[in-house]
Amino acid sequence: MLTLRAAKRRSSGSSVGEPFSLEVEIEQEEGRTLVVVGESGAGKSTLLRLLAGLDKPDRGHISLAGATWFDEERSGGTWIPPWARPIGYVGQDYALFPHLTVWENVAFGLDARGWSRRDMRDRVAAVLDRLGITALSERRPREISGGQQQRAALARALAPTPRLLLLDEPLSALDQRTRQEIRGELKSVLDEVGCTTVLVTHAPVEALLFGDRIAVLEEGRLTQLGDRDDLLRRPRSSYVASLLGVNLFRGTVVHDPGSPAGVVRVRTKEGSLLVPDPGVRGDVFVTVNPRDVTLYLTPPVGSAQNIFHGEVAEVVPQPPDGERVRVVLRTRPPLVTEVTQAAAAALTLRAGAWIHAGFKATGTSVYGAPAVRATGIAGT
Amino acid sequence: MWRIAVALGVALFLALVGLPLVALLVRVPPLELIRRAASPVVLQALKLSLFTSVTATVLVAAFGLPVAYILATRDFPGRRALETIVELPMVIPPTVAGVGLLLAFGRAGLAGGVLSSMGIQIPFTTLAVVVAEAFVAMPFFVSTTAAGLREVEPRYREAAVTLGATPPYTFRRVLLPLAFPSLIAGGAMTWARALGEFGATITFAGNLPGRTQILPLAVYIALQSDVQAAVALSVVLLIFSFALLLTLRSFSTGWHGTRIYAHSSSR
Repeated sequence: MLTLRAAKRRSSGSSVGEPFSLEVEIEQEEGRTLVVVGESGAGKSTLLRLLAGLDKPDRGHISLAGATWFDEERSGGTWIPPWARPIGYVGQDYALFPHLTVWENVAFGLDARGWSRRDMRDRVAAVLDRLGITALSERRPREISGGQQQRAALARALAPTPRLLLLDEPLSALDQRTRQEIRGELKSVLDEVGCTTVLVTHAPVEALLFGDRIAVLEEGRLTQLGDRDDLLRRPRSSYVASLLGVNLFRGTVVHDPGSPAGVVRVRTKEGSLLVPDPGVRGDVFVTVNPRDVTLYLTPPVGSAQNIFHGEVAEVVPQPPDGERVRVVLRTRPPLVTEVTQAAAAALTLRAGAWIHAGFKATGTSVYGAPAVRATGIAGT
Repeated sequence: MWRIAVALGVALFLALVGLPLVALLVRVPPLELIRRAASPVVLQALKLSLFTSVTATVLVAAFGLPVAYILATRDFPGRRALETIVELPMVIPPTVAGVGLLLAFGRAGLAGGVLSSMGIQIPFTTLAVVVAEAFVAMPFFVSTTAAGLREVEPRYREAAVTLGATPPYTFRRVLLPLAFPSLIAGGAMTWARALGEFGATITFAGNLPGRTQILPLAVYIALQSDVQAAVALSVVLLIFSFALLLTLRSFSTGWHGTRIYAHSSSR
């Protein structure tokens, strides 16, 4: 089990009264990958640096498999310096040693940890081979491409067989094409190695690809921590919803005797929705897939139970071929829909146009919004 | 107007720096110069100068490296003070440095009693020359090296420690190699300063031919009796310094070129 319970102020010089800029609590099973996703400045890199031992938490507890790396509460405190932790760390810009060859870079951690010459040679050869960079052994970092540098940095981190692998935006320094190529490769290497991994990214696609579990970090706080499916099905913040591209509403189930059987009314800050009865009362989240929202030029009659009116704010053709377009509406509450190019043409969609939008109660997904913070440390 | 000002500045600079150099070179005919330069007095002074300046440089490197390391990597109370102390010998007059050395290591000096009880006498010996040269030349090595170590990007140090490298190992395998050009540059300046040392040496070590009379002292003494000899000695020193500087410049630009490239390729 990997345990990280930590609070850290922005810098050691900050005053005691200042709120923690990062405050998280995570437990992670060994052998799986945890992805920490969030915008830049959310504290993702700091979280990773705490695990690596490059930064010290102001308070908390860090341990892996029963070995404590940091604990300020024990007598005298516990602090294991980075070089004594069984970790592999790949920073955003790889930081390959410019004065050493690729081979020497990969061997660095083994030599530092006192491996014998023979074991070192065998291990370096195996790792270089696995990542397909044996031919680059004698090159210096400046003589190889970005993708090759990424592989070399990963090889260097994996060579000493770490128990915890820490990857900080492993693909962000690469150009778009290389990124796609390396992405699949990195995924298969991680699956094969089976090492406990914490990967930090701002890209939703990487989070969903790599993460067995996903932690969402917003302004230094965890807003959601759960399995990939949980995140996909039940986003709990507008940030996650926007990452996934779904409509998310938070509201309260209200009593409405007029609503049909099996359907309840949820009052949000900007209007109310009819949704299937979730079996819970109180605060709930409601999600609507943009493809389930239908657009009309005239107010619809009939099956759509949730009807909104408003201006079209934006029309954005979607990858890969622009066959579908994403339409952002200034309704109350605001909605995002996705329709085919043909439908968009038929509706003469453009910014500023007045439009009606509707979706069925059955097209929504409703789940409880427990009024608990996803994070917090006793005593703070 | 601007062009004229620049041209005037350059011309004055060349007159100030270039003229004395030219004067030295044209004063004595080449054959006479070679004959003079090969004389026992010159050779003896040259040998002593080389020996003491190289020894001083090695000592400074050995004792200065730890100081440069903590100045570059640690933050501690009194850091500013230590930095100032390190740079002080660069600004105080060398003769003052010599007096200080006498008061510290002379027979009646602060450490004089301890030293003489161990049978060590420093003033007016070759060792005194080395000490005086090391004292005045040390700042060049320490500040240049500290700056070089500070310039090594933290990400390299961080990569090393996460790979299991202890601070000493990181220093040896990462910091030192990456700051090597600065070490060489600092060492070169230290050596050059030691080679030209005069004031602290004559105060602390005296002017004993064969023991403490290094080249700059020999030049000064010769000037009072034999101008030709003084010029010959000066030219030897001049050629020597010029060659030293030229070698180091080409060496350090070579290094620097590769380093800039290495840095720019990282992002």
